[in-house]
Amino acid sequence: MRTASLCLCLAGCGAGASGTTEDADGLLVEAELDADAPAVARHHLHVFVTDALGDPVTDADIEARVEMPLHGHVSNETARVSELGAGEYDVFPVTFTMPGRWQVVVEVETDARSSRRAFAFEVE
Amino acid sequence: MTIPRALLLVVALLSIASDLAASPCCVSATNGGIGRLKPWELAATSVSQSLFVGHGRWDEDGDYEPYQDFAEREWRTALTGMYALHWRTLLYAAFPVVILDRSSGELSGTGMGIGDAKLGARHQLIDFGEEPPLPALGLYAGFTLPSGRAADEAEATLASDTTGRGAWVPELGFELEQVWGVWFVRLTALGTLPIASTRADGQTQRFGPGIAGGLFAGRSFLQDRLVLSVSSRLAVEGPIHVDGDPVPESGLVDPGVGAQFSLGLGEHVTLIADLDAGLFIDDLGRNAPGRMGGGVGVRYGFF
Repeated sequence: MRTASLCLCLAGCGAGASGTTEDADGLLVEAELDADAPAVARHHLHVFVTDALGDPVTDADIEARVEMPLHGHVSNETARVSELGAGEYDVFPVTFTMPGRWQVVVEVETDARSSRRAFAFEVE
Repeated sequence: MTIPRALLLVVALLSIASDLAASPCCVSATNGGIGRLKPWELAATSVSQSLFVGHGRWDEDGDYEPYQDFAEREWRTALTGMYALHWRTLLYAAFPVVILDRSSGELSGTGMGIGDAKLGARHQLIDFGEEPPLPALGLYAGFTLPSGRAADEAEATLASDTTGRGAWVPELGFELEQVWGVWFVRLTALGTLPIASTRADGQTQRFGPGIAGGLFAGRSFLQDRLVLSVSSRLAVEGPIHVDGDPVPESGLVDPGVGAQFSLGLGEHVTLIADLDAGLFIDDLGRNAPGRMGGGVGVRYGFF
């Protein structure tokens, strides 16, 4: 439910620069874009992963897919993920190729848990 | 004589001349869309060049938002052909070449390629004046090929080499046309049922079924050599399905208005032109780009 409300809020508010969500077994995934008002451009998305105790999760396998669901296509540039340390990961390039609602689907996998979250952004 | 009076005089003379020789079969054959063959033609081909400029977009709530830093221009060269199988039935094909230019901030890109081609057939079920007072009725059946490059297969910056949607789209439609002397009204409707395709990310996707309608009204002048018309159009598509599940709010509504012009330059050659613009008003559209532009072309009829 928190994921759904996250997407609705970000899309509806039109800001869409960051978001937080937690999966059922306590894996907390936060994401923050490098711009408050996302534009048609290449962006960095910082993903923060912590466990139920608030400790950073390192060495997680993370994949990110940038897509425009309402138009039925993904971005033409593949986002790559690099670990920055202390549970922080950089996703780049998050390329929005036209204005509209985009979402970044972040899949996090650790030895014990996995999480799949969508972060929505209104791009002007 | 003032200029407006001179203009009125020209229009009046054109009207008199037109009234004397209008032919129901041919008033709008070359006016708007692919058109149709004139009764004496075996085939026809045309080449046209259009330019459309992106102005803004309707979002999923129907709010129209002009573009800020984003700019988009599309040049489209279209080669079309029609061939008569029978005096009632023709085959048609349209092959576009698309050049797309996008820019935003420091990013810009230009790409080109073959667009989505169309193939189909038209059957004139009721010819002009055949069953008065019924209007002429033409039926269409065809499909759009995924010959263009879909957005997620694009390689250029900002996906500016996108030239198509990446799906087979069967189409079925009709065209009703009523002619009164030099005046005509035409109603077109085309239903589409896209076939599912596989996206670059491996997911199966099917665009929503759609219907596109157009209402044209026009008049011929100069013994049908000059035809002018205005039109309104509306395209509606249902939601996209990904892996069988509908994507909420992904339905599309795209309204617009246009004007068409054709001028016969001889027995075989016709100059064609059109203008088109979206109706950039809140709540009229949904999930669609707001564009405006126009094109010019030349049509050659074989007989």
